[in-house]
This record gives sequence, C-alpha cells and structure tokens, in this order.
Amino acid sequence: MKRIYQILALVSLVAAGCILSGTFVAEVEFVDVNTNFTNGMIKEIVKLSDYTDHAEDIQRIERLDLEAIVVNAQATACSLDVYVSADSTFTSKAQVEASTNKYPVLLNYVTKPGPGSTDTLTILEAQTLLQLTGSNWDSIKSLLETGLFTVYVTSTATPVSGQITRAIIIITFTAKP
Amino acid sequence: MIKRCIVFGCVLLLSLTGAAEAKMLGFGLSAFYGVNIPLVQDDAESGPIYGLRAPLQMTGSLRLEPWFSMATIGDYDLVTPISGTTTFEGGDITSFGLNALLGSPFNGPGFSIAFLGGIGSHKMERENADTDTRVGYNLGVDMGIGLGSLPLSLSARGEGLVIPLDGGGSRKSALVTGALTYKFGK
Repeated sequence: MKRIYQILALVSLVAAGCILSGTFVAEVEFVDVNTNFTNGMIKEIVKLSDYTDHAEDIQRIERLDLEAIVVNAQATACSLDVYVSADSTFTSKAQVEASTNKYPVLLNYVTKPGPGSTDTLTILEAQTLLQLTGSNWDSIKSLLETGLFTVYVTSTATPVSGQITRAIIIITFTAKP
Repeated sequence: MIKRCIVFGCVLLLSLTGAAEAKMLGFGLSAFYGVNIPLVQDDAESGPIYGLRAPLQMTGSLRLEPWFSMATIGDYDLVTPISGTTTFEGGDITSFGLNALLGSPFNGPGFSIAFLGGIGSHKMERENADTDTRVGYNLGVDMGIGLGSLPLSLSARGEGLVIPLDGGGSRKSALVTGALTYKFGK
C-alpha cells in the first residue's frame, strides 16, 4: 500500500510542474498596411504582448498561419515572399535577401496581374506555401517565443507597385495562463 | 527522454514488485468507450476514445491495470477576419500504460468505487506537425456495478490526463469513459 502512495505522490509532483498551462491563439494584425512597397518590401515590427496577455509566458509555439489581402497595381503578376527576423533594421528587399538572420515563412505567392487586381490569400492557400519544416521551423519557433520579431514581405517585381491592405499572422502557442 | 524512461521504469518496477508480493485474486478484460475532452486548448475539440484494459485484482483493495487506448482529437474551427471559418484537423493519440487503483475490487458483487493513478506513453499525431510521443500521467475515479451472477460488470470512469511537452507546457484532457468488464475464472 505504501508503494502505491509513493507512486501517486511521484505522479502528482511531475504533473504539477506543467499543469498550469494552456494552448492559445493570437491574431497579429499588421498595423503598417495600406502603404506601398518601399524598396521592394513591407515591414512590420511585431511585439506579441500587444496581441495576447500570455506573451511573457510562452512555453512552446504550436503552429503559424497567415492570411492577407493584396492589391497589385501593376500590369504583370508578382511573387511575394514572407520572412521573419530578429533584426528590425532592414530597409530594402536586397538587405533582407542578403541577410543570414532571417527565416522564410512563406515563399512564392503569385498575385494576379493588375492593375488594381485584389488577391485574397486565405489560411488554407497559405498552408501550401509555408516553409515551416525542419531547422527553419525550429528557428522560427525560437524567434517567436521571444515575443519580439519583424515580418518582412518582399516582392520579386522591381519596382513594386501595390499594397497589402490587410495582413494577419495567427500564432498558436502553449503558455501559462 | 532518458528522464522519462527512468520515471516510467521506476513506476513499472514498483508496480510489478507489488504485484509479485501480493496474491492475485482475479483478472479480467475491459472494453471501454467514451469521450476525450481537451482542457484549456484553443486548438482542439472533444473526440472519442476507446480501448482495452486488463484489470488484475491483487489484494482486496489494490488493482493493477495495463491499458491501451486510441483517441481522436476533434477538428476545430478558427474564425479569422479574412479567411472566415477555417477547419483544422484535430489528430489522433495512441496510448498505452499502467494504472494502479485503490478501492473496491472490480470483480465483486454490487457497487464498487476505486481511485486511480497511472502513467502511460502517448503518441500524438497532428496535421502539419511532427509526431510527438510523450509520457503522460492520469488520475481519476472509477465506479462500477456487478451484474448479478454473471461474470460481467459495468463501470464509469472520470480521469484527468496531463501530457507534459517540451518547454514546460502540457496537453490536458478530461476522459470520461464507460466500460464492460468480463471476469475470468471464479
């Protein structure tokens, strides 16, 4: 009988260490939208604590999704890429692409030809283009867990004429409540 | 991983040592079915759980119970401003483990009640995520009733399950199941 109590005590102790946690979803909506691409990119600095009460207690990133509405103001289609980085100082597409301190989230989203066409990138469409595998995903998770990162959207077209009118990143994470 | 194996091994060793010292009074086979209810998980909904247990009555109050189960994490809907409602596939959890129960014997006549603690291995498979196998811990209560002279009993069980994850978080669920148990021998 004493052994059973010892087992139950052991189980309780191990479980208690992680019992106060939950899985939550944060929707991070870009603030700096409706601006034209500057030097081939759009930048958004994200401070997660602005979007969730649990930013200080993130224990694990579960998944990452995104959705957006893009207006292409030029006659030809263009391809958009999305990166995240701990560095918020890049001021051009060239700097983003040259940096080793960035991780691709989504690559090769091709818009419709314009001018004035509107593309809606849904969560399900974005999933087919996400690059969230292997060490790249591990690096992105580590970056997101810090609660402060910068999102860069770059375009293959040069010069870029168009806007992101709305963009949302959805982060699912485990944290202490 | 090594730490988890050590904990799992210790619990198993203690249980088997107890089993060896105790006199086994009976054994049976249970089929159970119920619902797996995720707790504090925005990315999961309830789903069915079913499986088998093999209760071994060691003494008048101690029961050991190896078990195997398969559970479904229910699909969940995410409502967002641009995409509207997106349904994500929940996933599956395949588990096995060992429970220790203290209380009335499962194979006696009339009403029985027992409190349980257990440990198990849980293999979690989800869409767009790596398969994750973790050690989990469960606590609960089991209430049953014998079916007269037949070697059968019905029982209902409520359990809390905690599966710790890397980084300190955990997946928690409430398990509510009903079981039909067949008692072998006398």
